[in-house]
Amino acid sequence: MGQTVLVCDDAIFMRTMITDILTQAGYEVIGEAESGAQAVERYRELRPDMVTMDIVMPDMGGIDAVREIVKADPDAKILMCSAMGQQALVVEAIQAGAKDFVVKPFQPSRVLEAVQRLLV
Amino acid sequence: MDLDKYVALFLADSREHLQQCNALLLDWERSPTSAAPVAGLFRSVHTIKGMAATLGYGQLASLSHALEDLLAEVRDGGLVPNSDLLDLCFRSVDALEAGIEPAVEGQDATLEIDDMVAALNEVVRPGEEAPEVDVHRTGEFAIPVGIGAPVGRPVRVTLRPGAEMAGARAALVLLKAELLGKVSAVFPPRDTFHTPVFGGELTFRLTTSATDDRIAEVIRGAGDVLTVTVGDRLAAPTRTMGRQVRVTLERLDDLLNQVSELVVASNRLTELVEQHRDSPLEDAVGRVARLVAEAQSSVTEARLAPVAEVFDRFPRPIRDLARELEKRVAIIIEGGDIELDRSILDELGDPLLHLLRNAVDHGLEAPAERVAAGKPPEGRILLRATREQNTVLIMVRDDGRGIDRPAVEIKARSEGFLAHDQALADDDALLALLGKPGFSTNVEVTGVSGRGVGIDVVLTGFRAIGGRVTLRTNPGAGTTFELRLPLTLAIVQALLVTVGAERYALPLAFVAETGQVERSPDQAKGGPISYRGGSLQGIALDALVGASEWQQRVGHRRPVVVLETGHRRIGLVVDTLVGRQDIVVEPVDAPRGTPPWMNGAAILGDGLPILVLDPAALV
Repeated sequence: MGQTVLVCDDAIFMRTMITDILTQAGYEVIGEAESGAQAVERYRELRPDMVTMDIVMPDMGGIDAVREIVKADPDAKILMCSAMGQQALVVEAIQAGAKDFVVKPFQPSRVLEAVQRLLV
Repeated sequence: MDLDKYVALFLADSREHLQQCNALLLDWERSPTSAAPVAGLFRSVHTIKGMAATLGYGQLASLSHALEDLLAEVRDGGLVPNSDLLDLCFRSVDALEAGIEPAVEGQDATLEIDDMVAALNEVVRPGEEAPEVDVHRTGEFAIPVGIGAPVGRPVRVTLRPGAEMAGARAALVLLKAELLGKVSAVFPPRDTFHTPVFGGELTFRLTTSATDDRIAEVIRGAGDVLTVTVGDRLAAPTRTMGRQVRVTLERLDDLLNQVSELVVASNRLTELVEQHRDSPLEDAVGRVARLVAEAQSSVTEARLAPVAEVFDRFPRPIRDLARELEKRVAIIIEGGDIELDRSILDELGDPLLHLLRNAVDHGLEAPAERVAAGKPPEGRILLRATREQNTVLIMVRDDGRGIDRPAVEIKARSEGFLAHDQALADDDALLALLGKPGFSTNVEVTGVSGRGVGIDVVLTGFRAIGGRVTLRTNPGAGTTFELRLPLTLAIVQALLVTVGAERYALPLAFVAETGQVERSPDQAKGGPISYRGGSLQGIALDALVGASEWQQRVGHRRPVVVLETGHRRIGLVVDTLVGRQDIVVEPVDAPRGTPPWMNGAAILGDGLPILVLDPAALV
């Protein structure tokens, strides 16, 4: 069985795209979340091997969600999904405990490289 | 790690660089519009910054960084130097000088440089907060100092040039390093990672029990990491084998000149002995000649330095330019360990940087355009040095859009550089046109102009160091410049020829072959000559230098020297071929009106002067 992933993004378009990239590469997307609060909740519930996290989401942003998740599980493997120009936020997310990042627009190969680094 | 060794190296090196800085500042003050002092200052200050950061002298590094920023701004034309700015530079160099010894003694953190840094930043970015050198937050710089010595192994990480969000990647690098131990002396400071000044390279110290290899492995896990250098190799100069003595370049210059003259004298001796048929004497002279030749190659070698010293300066400005233009570019550097004469190397950087900037600015397309053309969004620039016999070949290749020759032709016709029915035969003709002063600088369509520097300036810069340039461009696929440089400038192998009573020297590097042709009146005007069943553009040297009697010689067979630059050839018709000789070319202070093909003069073994011709200007 492939390693499990929780995909967090408020845009269904992005969730679908990430899910497709990961599924095709043999990972198993076991849940989705469309807000930071939901991400925290679903993480507790599903305990996935890793999480992809959008930065800007309604009802608790991605960075706060990272803080909450890492507080509960310091080993949580969270991959930030950021748009260009959000570098300061990405740095903040890393300081909050995110383990890697990819930049939109996604190139599937870049996403998979980052996922592989995380799931070594 | 033997830290004392590095501290001693730092003391000696920084002293030399600061001395250089003072000399350059004085030059600059004398001619404020001259680019050379600024470039030299930038290099020296940059070097000091690197060393200081490596040794964990954060305050010194901050000050150097701020000064370097200002110098870069001046160099790139963003700031116009005035007396206030110069004064500030003088004071900054003084402050650096005053800070070196305290830093080495462990007092770096107490250096009072904040005002100076703020003043420098104010000039570069008026009214802006400059967090990247915010030395008030010395928390980042708080180096655990034992007895004046920084703790932990130095680590230097460079990121892949096209890495997205390099700053965030750098933050990940630190996160990875922290998995292994305690990280300190981070430079540039963490809070500058997300700013545009972050150049994709960071240094820090890591206190850990992990091996160097393990450190490198873990840090590579951050992704987009190009190189990780841990520990001893970091601060050491490139050549650490054996014991070293520091010798100034001037002394090596003197030595090289003396040996070069010795080579010439020895050649003359060999010539004379050959007329005497005295074998013991011939043996002795032959032995002297060999020893002189060995001495020449030893001195030449002592002056060599790796091209990486110049190449390594490029990724940062190229990256910054690409970012400014919203392009993506990976610069790939190969052959950094190839060595060149120091004096050539010093002059190589600026013209090469112009070529690279042109490649980013005009060669590479915007990401969307690249994708539309079926290319990866990230453009590639290859900068490669290779050694070929007695020359070094430097290649700058981009995979951009190429130069649009028809568009250049249209522009050239409209500006009178090209007749209306004339076309550019090939890339050599294109390069010759782009190299004409005043042409390329104002042509957008060429894809190589702009930023105030035309190809003519680049070519002049390369020619000054004996370089030959060729250009190959393919529409849609990219452009390649190749630069062939001599290993050393001092001694040139030349073919000596005569016209009338005068002797001339032709650098052998340009001589393809020699032969015989029939004289014809056309040759004076550069008309074609038939040579070995083909046709060649002919030039009569006697007509060129203004000897009047050439007409009388029409009909006679004469020696011809076939000169070749790039893929263009001409036949230079002369009276006699004298033979091959090593000559030491002395640049002549050419009076106005000196023809461009007059390259310099040399004194031959018999003490008589000879003019050296520049084939590149003839062909």
